[in-house]
Amino acid sequence: MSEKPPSLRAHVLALLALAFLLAATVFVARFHLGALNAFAGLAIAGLKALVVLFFFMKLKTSGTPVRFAACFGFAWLAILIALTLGDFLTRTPLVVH
Amino acid sequence: MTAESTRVAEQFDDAAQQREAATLGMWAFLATEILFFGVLFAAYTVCRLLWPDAFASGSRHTDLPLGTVETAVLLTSSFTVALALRDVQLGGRRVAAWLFVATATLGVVFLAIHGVEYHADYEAAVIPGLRYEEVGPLAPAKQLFFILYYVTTLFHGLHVTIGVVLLLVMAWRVRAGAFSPDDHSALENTALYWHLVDIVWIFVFPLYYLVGRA
Amino acid sequence: MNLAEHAPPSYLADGVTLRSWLFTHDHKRIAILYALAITFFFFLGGVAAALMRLELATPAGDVMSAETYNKTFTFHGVVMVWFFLIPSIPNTLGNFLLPLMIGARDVAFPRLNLFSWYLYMAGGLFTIACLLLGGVDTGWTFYTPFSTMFSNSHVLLTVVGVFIVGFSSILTGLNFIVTIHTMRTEGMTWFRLPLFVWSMYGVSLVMMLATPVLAMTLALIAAERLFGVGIFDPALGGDPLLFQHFFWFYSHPAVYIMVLPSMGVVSELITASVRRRIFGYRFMVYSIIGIAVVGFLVWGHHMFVAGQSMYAGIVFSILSFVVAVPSAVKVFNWTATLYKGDIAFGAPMIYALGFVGLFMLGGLTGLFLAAVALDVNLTDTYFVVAHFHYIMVGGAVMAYLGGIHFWWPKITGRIYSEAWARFAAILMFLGFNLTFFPQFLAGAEGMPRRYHAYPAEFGLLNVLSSAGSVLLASAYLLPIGYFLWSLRHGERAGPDPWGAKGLEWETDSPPPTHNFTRPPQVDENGPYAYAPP
Repeated sequence: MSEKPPSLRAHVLALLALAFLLAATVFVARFHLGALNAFAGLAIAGLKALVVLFFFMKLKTSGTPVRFAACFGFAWLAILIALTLGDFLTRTPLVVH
Repeated sequence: MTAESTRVAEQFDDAAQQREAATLGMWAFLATEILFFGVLFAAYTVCRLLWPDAFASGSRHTDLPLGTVETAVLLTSSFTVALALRDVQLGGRRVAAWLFVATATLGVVFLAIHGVEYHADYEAAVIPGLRYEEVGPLAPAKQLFFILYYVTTLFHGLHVTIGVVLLLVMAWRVRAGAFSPDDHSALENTALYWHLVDIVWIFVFPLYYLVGRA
Repeated sequence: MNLAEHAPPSYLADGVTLRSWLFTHDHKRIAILYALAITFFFFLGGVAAALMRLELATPAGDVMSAETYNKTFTFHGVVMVWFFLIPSIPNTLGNFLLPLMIGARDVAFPRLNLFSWYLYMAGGLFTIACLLLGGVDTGWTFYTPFSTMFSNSHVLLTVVGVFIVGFSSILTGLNFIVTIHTMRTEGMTWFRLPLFVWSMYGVSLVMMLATPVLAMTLALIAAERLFGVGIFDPALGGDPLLFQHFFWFYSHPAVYIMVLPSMGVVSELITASVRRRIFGYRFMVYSIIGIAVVGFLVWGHHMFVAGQSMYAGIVFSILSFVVAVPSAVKVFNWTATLYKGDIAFGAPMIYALGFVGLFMLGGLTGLFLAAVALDVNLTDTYFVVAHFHYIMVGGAVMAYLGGIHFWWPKITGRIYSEAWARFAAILMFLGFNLTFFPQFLAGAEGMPRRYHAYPAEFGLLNVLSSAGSVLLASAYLLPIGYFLWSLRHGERAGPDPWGAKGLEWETDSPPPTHNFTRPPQVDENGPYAYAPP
């Protein structure tokens, strides 16, 4: 039994939200914010991804196993990046005696 | 609920179980895709941390207007495929089929823009392993940027191509009446795959096109 | 065998043409296709091992050149890891038993299951092609920059083969996860699942989350081989250690892909042999999940001396100690299950006990290696070689064989010779220890791995090891003999020759194509609900 899909209006709003976020990310990139540039770019990308995930991919109305599957993918990528960075960020130069 | 319109494979007890399995299976596959592309994002993170200036310089070589258009094209294509699915869920057929075709067309437009970009890169000689003529202190590390750029966009492009083929096949099948509001797992899964392709690009865009633009 | 007139044919009798096997959708037939293939690759990898032990029987490098030896140990590793150990239990016993144990007719995606086998075979073809064309000499670990920039051997061919077989792994995991989530029969709740099913769930999680990382890492090697430039090249500012991070992110969980199913099998063998509930069922479940998850957090212990930061080394070391805890819980619980029990010492039980002892030794020596200060001296020595062979051969292979013996009547409908099986199991245990225990000593004395020649002082230990390998090889050949014999002459098996609990024992041996002729009844008391004596 299929549930009723969201309205056409809801879809258009989602697209407009994505378009707005796209404009925002290009706009913010033009300012020199140092490390915040990367953070802003990724944060906005994250928001876009959330719109696609929760609205277009219907995570909002999905069951628990599906939500876990979505989480696990990103979480395990986070583990890969975090522990790898844990090495690269804590390297000290070799001391030559 | 029209039972006769839903073919249930013999290993399943009923249509609901079949649907549940199809959806969970697709999401499990998408999780593997996140990790597959994730390696390239992890490599990018490390290399950019090691060579921030080289990455900024490399990013300035990318075509920002074309990249922005590409992103807009893919975001719109997620919109059209979601609408296509909505139409099928409401009992539609013709409009849905055309929306699938529209999504596929946007995918082809995306690939065409990439083609333009790659051609320009070849002219500018920034393709490591093929034609790379950058000089200066940042040039060696900039190759890391470009290697990751090409591996990422080529793998992504491959996934877009596969998606386009799937979308066209689905468009054909929708038009032929193969689906109903209660039985369209293949369409849902195709749409999920397409949205993932969009999500990967959502992250590619700021990382490769928006660095050092200030 | 069920002689009733309207009984459906067994899955073995349901179609006898080659086509009916090569295009089957039946998970049981696919399991057999895998079993035949992995047995072939096991012996291929075994021949490589025999050649290595032949070379190492004497200190001088007199059997083959150093380059050939490099290719031999690489081939041994690639074949044994990806074409034997990883698919062994999941794709044979898992494929066969999972639907039966949960009361389903098949897995969720039978055609995908068959496709996974074809992917395995395609990957295998690439690997054999590589062998025939001259082999690859990088070690199964493909470390850069040697693999990407300097090796003159068939790296590209091998990584393509492994890439393909990796997808076989991923799709198997996907199939199992969806099957377990959606196709459990009425009454089969999560905490009534046999531990073997839980181990299939755990292994599927690991396969799906780890293998894609390997796939992309191999693709990066392939790209560098093809285009001459890559991100691991120090001249460009790349870091070879980045490769190792990506490689071990997969390859450490890979060893849990090998061990989790073994643990699942052992839980089944022990409960059936002592006819008791498992001690601490919930903790066994949590341990499986714990091993699967924490196993992803320890990969840096392969890189303590590779140039990784000391701080990362400390973190990975601590986590490596943590991951031993759930394994230890399982060993305690198996032991507690056996305490004051009435134990039947059939071949399956001998294999299970062998697993527990050898896994424990292998696991404890892993703790030695997890201690950074010790690892500095032990890394890249035979101590490491012995450690992982204790777990993978003494552990995983013995569990696999124990499982094959235990479920042989169910799979084939025949009983094997218990006397020969016990003899082979004991010979294997003795041969194994003679082969690999001296390697702990050699490694602690400083003998490095991956060398075809070594200083004379290690001579005796190597002779003992090579002698042990002869016994071990004989022990592996024996089951071929008595299993084949049983197919023709073995006593026919009833539905439950062991008197064991589990839905697989509620149907005929061998089962009909769709597993059950009537819906199986799940015991409300949970798995292993044996009556007290």
